[in-house]
Amino acid sequence: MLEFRNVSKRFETPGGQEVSVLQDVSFTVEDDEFCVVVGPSGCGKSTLLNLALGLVPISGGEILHGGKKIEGIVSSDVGYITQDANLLPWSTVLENIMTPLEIRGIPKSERRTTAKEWAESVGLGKFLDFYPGQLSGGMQKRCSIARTMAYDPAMIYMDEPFGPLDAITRTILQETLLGLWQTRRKTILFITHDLVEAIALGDTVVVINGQPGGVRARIPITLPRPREIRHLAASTDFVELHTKIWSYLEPGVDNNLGELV
Amino acid sequence: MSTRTQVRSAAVALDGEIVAPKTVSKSSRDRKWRLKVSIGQVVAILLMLGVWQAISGNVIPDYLISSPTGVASDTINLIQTKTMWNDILTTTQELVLGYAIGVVFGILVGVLMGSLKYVSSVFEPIIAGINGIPKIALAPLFLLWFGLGIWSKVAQASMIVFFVMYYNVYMGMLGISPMLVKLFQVMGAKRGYVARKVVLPSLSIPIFAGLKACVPFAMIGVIVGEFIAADKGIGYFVLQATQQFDSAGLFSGIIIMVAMVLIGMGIVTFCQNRVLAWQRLGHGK
Repeated sequence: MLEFRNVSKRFETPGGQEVSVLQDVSFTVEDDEFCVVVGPSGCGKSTLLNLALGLVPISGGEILHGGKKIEGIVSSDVGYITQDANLLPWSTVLENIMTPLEIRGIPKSERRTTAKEWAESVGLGKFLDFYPGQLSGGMQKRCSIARTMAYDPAMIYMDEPFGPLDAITRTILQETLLGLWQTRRKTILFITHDLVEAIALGDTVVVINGQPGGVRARIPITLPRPREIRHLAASTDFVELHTKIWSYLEPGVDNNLGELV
Repeated sequence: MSTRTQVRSAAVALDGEIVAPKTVSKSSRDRKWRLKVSIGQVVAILLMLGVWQAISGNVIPDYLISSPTGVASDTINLIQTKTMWNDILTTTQELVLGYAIGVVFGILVGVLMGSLKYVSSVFEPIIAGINGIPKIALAPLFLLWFGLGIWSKVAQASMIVFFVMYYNVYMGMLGISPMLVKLFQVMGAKRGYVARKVVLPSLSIPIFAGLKACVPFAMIGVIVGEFIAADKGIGYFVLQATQQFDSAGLFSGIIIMVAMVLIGMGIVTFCQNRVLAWQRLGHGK
């Protein structure tokens, strides 16, 4: 279980001014829940994830991971999937997937077998000896998902993982992710600015908005599982949820536009 | 070359599918072009040698510029003498030691400066200041400190090599992706593991750039040292030849130096091709 309690974060600009990014954020991610945090760009949602991983220091409030307060970088039983695949360019697909297993001191033969299985389950079975530079963006992303799933962390943090991909690849990968999650339940905290993605994937959607960002709504997604993402947009339930969540997002979006002009 | 082209086209694959490598009709055009370039190069070199041979003794006296045939026969004679091999051996020793010491310290200091912000803030301007010294001006000092033997030359060479290597590695350190490092920390990697698996490979390109650039620089250091004061080595031999108006000997010495530098570069390139194989197969993000 992951608990955010009155979390706030302030940054100091190079000019010495304090900017408040997050204010009084409180919500809970239950075990095995797929929780999606959605918000416009600049609302501090990625910062929230960095706080939860202990990558940046918190300014106020606390975050509890399995009941324990987070201090310093969280590295036990968590996975982190970033916007860029962040693979080692000098290692092959198989070696990349084996890396976290090696860190955990798992014997070499076992590492190999596990990594191969995961590569196959994300559709990279034929590309074991390819270097990341030889793969498309979507395949790199598959590799980074396999790398994270391979060491079986209880909790996975995903920071706009499908953001840079084209629409078709994104949908396919979302389905892959859901398929994996359905067979191996994990707690997932998924950050995105894509409403459709949020509804398609999540059990719960947490809407963050404003500057500083705060939780505007926590909406359970009641759509039945397994979901077929490519046909989801046609269902009336989906449209309803979409309209509802959008209403919480609108004010902030207008603000952002105002700033741009 | 043709395998590389194949790999590239396989790389432009759709998600989840391999695009079959294109059968390349380009390679025969490539080969023709390269042949043309090679012919041009040979002709250009022959032309230059021809001009040199023609003006030698006619326009410019032989003792000033010798001639290609003179240099060729002199070089062949020289490399059959024992003294020349002693000179080559001495210079090689100085070159290898100076290069190695400069490289090792350059990498160490570069990594240190790149990983400790306080240290780099303090020392960056100081190192830049020391680098401002024309290193050759230190040759008399090294002679004073390390004597007439090989060590004054080793010091001179390593001094030059150090700075080139240091700047390459330091800049390389600044280029390491902080995101990749964080990701590894979240995966549970300890400092040593990150250093081995992320930092060191990230530095491989700047390190090899430095290793290549430093071979001729090390040679400059060694030869300058031998010019100042020595009783053996190729630099010493060239200086002697010059003082005796033996321009053929001088050119032969230079040819031997160039050969040594090229062999050194060849060794570095050989290692680079093995270590950086991943790099030739396309870049990661």
